[in-house]
Amino acid sequence: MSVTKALPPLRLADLFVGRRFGPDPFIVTPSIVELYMAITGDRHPAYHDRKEARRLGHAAPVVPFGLVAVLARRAYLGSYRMLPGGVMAGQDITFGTPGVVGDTLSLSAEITRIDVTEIRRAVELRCETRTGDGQLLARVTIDARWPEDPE
Amino acid sequence: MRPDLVKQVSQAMMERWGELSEDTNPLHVDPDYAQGSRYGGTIAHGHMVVAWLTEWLRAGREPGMLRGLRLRRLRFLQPVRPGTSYRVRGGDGRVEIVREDGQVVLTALVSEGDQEEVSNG
Repeated sequence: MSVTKALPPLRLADLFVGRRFGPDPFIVTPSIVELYMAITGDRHPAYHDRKEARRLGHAAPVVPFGLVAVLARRAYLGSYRMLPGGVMAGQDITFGTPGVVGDTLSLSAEITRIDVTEIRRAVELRCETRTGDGQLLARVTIDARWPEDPE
Repeated sequence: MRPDLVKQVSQAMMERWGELSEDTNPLHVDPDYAQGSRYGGTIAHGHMVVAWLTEWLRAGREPGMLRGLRLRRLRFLQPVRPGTSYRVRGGDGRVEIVREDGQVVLTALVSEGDQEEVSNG
């Protein structure tokens, strides 16, 4: 994945329940998978060995499911940047059909809940990653704590 | 029964994950900024920690076998910090990540999902 560009911030004030992001295309390249494997040490041959992937019934090397939360985040931050200080409080993940490296995936998200109090700014997003032929790769519901908007 | 998975976290690992994910939140990659925050130091990306769970779930199996699995009520209880090791362990429908001193930092429920939900998307 490329270095973050100068993108507009996704401020709390810009959010509303029902706001949608995408669907936007994204390709998990072999270099992304290589970096993932180097960082995590998770090097299942299905991620990088075409022959092994085919033996297991896949058309090509598969996208590590360890990237699902990264892809979910990208679904709503692909065109924006998060202001400093936000964190993830929880998630709910459904795993679907493995994606194929080099395939054009489709990323989308929708804000499903916003709960702002004096002490926290909770935002829930429902994010989906789909394969090139429309199958669900993963559904991730994110419970995020949004950073405070700058004054 | 899946074996435990042990992960050693470093600041360099977190910075590389920031590069991979394009998440350069200074809480994760800027020790000076993070020291002044309520966390008192850098913390790992939540999505990197989630990747550990998928690796643990997959243990010994090929990736396609995760289809239909679901992680529910995944909660981050404590931040994951560099310079510390963590153990992913679980069974009987639960998974947790435990810091080397025994503190539980994450819990989640594991279930076989609704195959129809996955099929119909």
